Amino acid sequence: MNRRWVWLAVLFAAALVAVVVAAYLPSGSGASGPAALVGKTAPSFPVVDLAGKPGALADYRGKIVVLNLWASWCPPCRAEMPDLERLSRAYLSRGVVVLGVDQGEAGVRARDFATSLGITYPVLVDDAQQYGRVYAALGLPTTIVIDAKGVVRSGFDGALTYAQMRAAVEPLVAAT
Amino acid sequence: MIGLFTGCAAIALAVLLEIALPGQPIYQYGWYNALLATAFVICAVRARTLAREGAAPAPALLTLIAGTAALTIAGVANGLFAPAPQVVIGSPGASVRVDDLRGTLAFPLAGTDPVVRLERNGGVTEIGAGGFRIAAAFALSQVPRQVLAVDVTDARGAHLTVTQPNGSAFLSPVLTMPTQQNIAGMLLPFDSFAVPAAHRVVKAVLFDRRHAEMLKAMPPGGTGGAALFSVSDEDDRAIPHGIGLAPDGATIALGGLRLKGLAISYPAVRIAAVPVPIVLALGMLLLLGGAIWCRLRKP
Repeated sequence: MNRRWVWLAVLFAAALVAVVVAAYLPSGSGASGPAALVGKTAPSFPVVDLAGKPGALADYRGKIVVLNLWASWCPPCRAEMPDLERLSRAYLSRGVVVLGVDQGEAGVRARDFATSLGITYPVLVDDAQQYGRVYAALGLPTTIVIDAKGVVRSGFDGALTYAQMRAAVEPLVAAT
Repeated sequence: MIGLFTGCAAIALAVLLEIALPGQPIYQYGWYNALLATAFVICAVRARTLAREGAAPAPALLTLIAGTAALTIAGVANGLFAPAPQVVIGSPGASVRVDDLRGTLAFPLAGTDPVVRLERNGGVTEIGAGGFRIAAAFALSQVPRQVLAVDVTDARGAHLTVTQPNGSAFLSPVLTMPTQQNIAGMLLPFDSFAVPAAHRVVKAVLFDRRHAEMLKAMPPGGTGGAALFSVSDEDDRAIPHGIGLAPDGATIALGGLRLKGLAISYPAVRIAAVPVPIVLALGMLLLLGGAIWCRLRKP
């Protein structure tokens, strides 16, 4: 066997080793929490609204939706809701819907809480916490911005400022 | 020549077994991988001798040995470089990122078709009950487990949010019971959750039917398993009358909460490394091609 064949064999073996070792290397951590859903179709579950009537995220398909998961026991949720109300009023005419989804509580508790804060945007009551699970909430509040086609465009863990809310919806509003 | 074929076939069989029976501890033993490597060296030396003797065309023998080398490298790398097998436990409806797979496992909602979906590189692989699927260099199979779906209301019956600050899904009311607790010599599934609105933390231990029957404190009405709940405050101080055993599906009042637990079977996913399939396929192709070439062509 001449020297050329030896080199070819070494190269062949080296290439195989590189391929197999690379196959076992883990990737860097991808996005976690609600941000991991970016680019995917937003899941929807039938629940009820504050009046006890059926409602779901899917009812708002065709609108830009700011989906906000919250609960009455959550202080940051309470702090954030006035800004969500402000966003709702400012952008409603531009095709943006703020949709609150209470997580795990009785409808009456959610209704009393929303009323006490003067919330006018639609609120759903998800006592089985389906939205929280599927949107990978790491805590409350969690906010997911969904475009008019029903695709998740951004996801946020924790309370947002009004400026952050605007920054999340403005590009979608401008694109429509 | 027969000896060489037998040696190469033995190596191929050993490596193929690593796919047929993935995740066996033996694959990671040093002596096992040393044996594979030694077998290959013996085959390579024998092939060189046969080539010099003119028993078969040298390129044919080289092809045969290249295939065996690919299989050996795939097998040894699986033993030495691949991560140990793991079981990924996800909450119903949750998506769990698995870095080894470079993808995400999407777990089904409870009560729906128990198919876990692996989403990677824009494609979806469905992992159903029974059998296994190969994705990248890993075999994925379902492992059924008992989990506990909890429902919590206050004394007036108003629903309360359940959170799992340390669980795989923060807002899931399904406890995946990832750890075990030793109670009276029995190793039992254990998990905990919080009820922030009531400032309570609840620990839960799941008893299956067999273990529940061993409990003299089992309340009437239980026909299946049971859940032992222990309610404490947010600083982990015990609450008076905060410990109780609830038959599966029954409600129990403890520490100001009304708790109900329902044990359900739910899939987890076992992930075990296998030899890299593309290298394995290449190796088998070269090995078989080389063997046929050796038999068909005389030098």
